[in-house]
Amino acid sequence: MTVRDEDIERIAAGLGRETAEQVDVDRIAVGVVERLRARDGIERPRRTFRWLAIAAALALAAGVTFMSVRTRSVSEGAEQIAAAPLLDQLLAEELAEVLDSLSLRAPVSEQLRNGLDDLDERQLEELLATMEG
Amino acid sequence: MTVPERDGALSDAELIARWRVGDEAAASALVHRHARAVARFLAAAGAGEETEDLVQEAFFRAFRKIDTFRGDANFRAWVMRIGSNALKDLRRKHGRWQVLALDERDVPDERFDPHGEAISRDLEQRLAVEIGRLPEMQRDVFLLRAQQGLDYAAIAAALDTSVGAARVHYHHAVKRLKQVLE
Repeated sequence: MTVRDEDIERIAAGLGRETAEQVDVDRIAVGVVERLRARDGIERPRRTFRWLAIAAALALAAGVTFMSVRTRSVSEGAEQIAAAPLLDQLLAEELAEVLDSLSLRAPVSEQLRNGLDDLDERQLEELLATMEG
Repeated sequence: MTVPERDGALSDAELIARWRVGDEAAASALVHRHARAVARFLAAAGAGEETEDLVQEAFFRAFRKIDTFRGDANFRAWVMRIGSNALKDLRRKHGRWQVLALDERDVPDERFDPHGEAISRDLEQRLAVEIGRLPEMQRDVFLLRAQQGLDYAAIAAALDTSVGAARVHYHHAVKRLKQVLE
């Protein structure tokens, strides 16, 4: 029996039609979206950690302000060293919230894309100065 | 290749861009647009009664790793490749290396014969089974070309291979199918 290439290709072109008509596309779409949401739920603890980092940054800012008023003898560079690593771990939108809470004169939060690296020298100085009191 | 369905005139690229920023409606629209084609591909690859679950799995995996999708590639073919990997994982998981034969209803009847030539039901059944027995790369290339109508460049991009390699795989697939059917 001789089978031609075009016979094989023609038959292959029709394979699976019935099954494709039978699948419930709405059910598939809903299932995919629900599973993607569930995956987001698994990742939520990581976000919670980031919010804790925000809280820590704010607490640090408040603490640094308090300490700078109380003890003038503390060197100015020490607070920067403590604060910068925490801020550097925040996502851009999280950092924006911290900045908004500090009521900076220079509007910076809407310019953030990648975090601290988006701040120019003046904005960074003001941020650190505000945190240091 | 892309058939808008429910989602107006948005292209795949636009919907993908929306999904990248978390738009679930965009993900759903992409599923509606491509699910039946992916189902045809997986059914022909031997997915059998697991086809619907595998389609869901393919899209789920695709959206999870959407950042690895090359913008110039064919989204539908990319999802098909992911579905093919999911089928392989399923067979490995269940230790089912035997081919899942297509349901009889999935074998095209003579109405699809443009030449009016009567191909026996037996030949069609055997072809359906033998496609499922091809090496994965040969099977995927063969189906993407013969069933989905993609050109070799699109196939090569979807399967992360070269155009030349895709042509070779297709040639080997057809040769092998002819040998076992004759």
